[in-house]
Amino acid sequence: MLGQIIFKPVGGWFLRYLRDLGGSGIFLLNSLYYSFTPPYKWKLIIRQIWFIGYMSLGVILMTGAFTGMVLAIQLFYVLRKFGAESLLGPGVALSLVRELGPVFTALMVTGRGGSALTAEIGIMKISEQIDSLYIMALNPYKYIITPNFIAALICFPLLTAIFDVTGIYGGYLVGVKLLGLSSGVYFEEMKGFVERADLLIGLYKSLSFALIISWVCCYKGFFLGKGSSGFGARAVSKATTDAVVMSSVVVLIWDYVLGSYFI
Amino acid sequence: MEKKPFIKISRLRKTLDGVEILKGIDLAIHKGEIMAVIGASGAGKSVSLKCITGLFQPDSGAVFIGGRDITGMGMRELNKVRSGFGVLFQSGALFDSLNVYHNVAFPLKEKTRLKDSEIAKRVTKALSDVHLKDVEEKYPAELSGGMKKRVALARAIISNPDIIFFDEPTTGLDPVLKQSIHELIIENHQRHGFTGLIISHEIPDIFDVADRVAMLCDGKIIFCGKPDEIVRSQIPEVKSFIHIRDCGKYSWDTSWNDSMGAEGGIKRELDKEG
Repeated sequence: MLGQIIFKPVGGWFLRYLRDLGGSGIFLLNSLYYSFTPPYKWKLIIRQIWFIGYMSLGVILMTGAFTGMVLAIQLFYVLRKFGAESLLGPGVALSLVRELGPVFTALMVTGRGGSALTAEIGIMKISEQIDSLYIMALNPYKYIITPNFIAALICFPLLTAIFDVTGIYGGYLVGVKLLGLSSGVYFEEMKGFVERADLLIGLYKSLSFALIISWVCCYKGFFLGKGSSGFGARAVSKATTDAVVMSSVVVLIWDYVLGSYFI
Repeated sequence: MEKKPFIKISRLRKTLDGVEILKGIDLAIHKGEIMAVIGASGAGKSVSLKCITGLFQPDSGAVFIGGRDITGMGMRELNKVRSGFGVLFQSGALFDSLNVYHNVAFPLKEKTRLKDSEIAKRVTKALSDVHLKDVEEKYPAELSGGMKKRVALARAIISNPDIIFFDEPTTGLDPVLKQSIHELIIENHQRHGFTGLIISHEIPDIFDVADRVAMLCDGKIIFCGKPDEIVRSQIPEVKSFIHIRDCGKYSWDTSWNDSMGAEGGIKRELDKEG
């Protein structure tokens, strides 16, 4: 009796969870396989680069600038206590390049592009557009999924670089123009502290975040209707919310894992 | 000797979320024939269509198309079979981001090496076959429900498929548009000679389109025969589903009383009276 009440639903949930996990793993492998095998749908890839990359520029510039500015204020406050204001430039740059640039870019693009991606693919699913590709003997991965994976892998590092540069100039505005630090000190110290390895860590992080976000957002849209959310507008809204929340959480967890590895 | 069926469904079973939807379907469709599958909502019509087209993997049973069992086929092999398919989905399933021209041209552009000029010719022909003109530049969102279905039909016929599947092609349309879509199916069937499988519950209109009708009830085919045979069927589920006292040329037991069917019958009587 107790088994029926407790173990059956828990076991059922666990099996469903395992099945979904396996399904999402297979989805990722398929997506990567088709992303790196021709033919490539260049028109669709360029369209997604425009959507994920170009359309995110505004929000990246804005958040990058203000992140750098806030960082400069906070770091200046701490560094002044130790008489080390001259390290403001390296502090801002290292924080942005190693950590905040890739993470904030990923979170911003998830909120702007990832949610739209899930909604678009989800609507294609419920309006049978994906089924129609299957029945036309065409591979939906090639038309819907891989353009997003490729576009994300191209755009994320570039957007991260733009975020970093904007943030460094945001920090410059606050540190040099507002708090009176010398411009030479701000940039010169940076050269000595920021190494190639730091830039590479930022690059690896942005590439892995691109993969995580396109994986989660595409999966949530492509397999819309799995589970109890049904198959209508509500399912699209739930999938979109789930995709954003899950992408953000996984990005932060993965950031910690990579951060620990690269320290 | 009996003709070998082009599509043969044998003991097809499918369970979804723990509910057995299809409980052993058997159906045979001959080449060039139009078969209509009717049934109440939830009877398993769409699930059976998805199993037949390979979108769902059945739990057991077989689906033979042109003599080959497609259940358990790999994607490459299945795609070879599917290249002879055309489908008109319930929603039309047109690609939102493409205009009408590119929607209709899509199968040719992606699956053939035809020149753009040849594709353009065939798109114009396909659109004229469904009585549409000057819509090439419009996007699906700018089209009415009936126009979307016509564009979807044009896309389904453009590559001259051997089989066209129609999933409730007239759902959500007014009676005039329903009639026109049915006429288009007949007209294009005569022109292209495809084998058709229509999932529908448009009774009695579908009887004018189909060569044979099968009724799906509770996951099983309970009747399969010609339209004039189904209206004479004494199977209780068939009688209660058809709900008609006057089906025009498909008239049957007029003493049978049913409130749902009365409206249609009365309307036809009034039309006759003029």
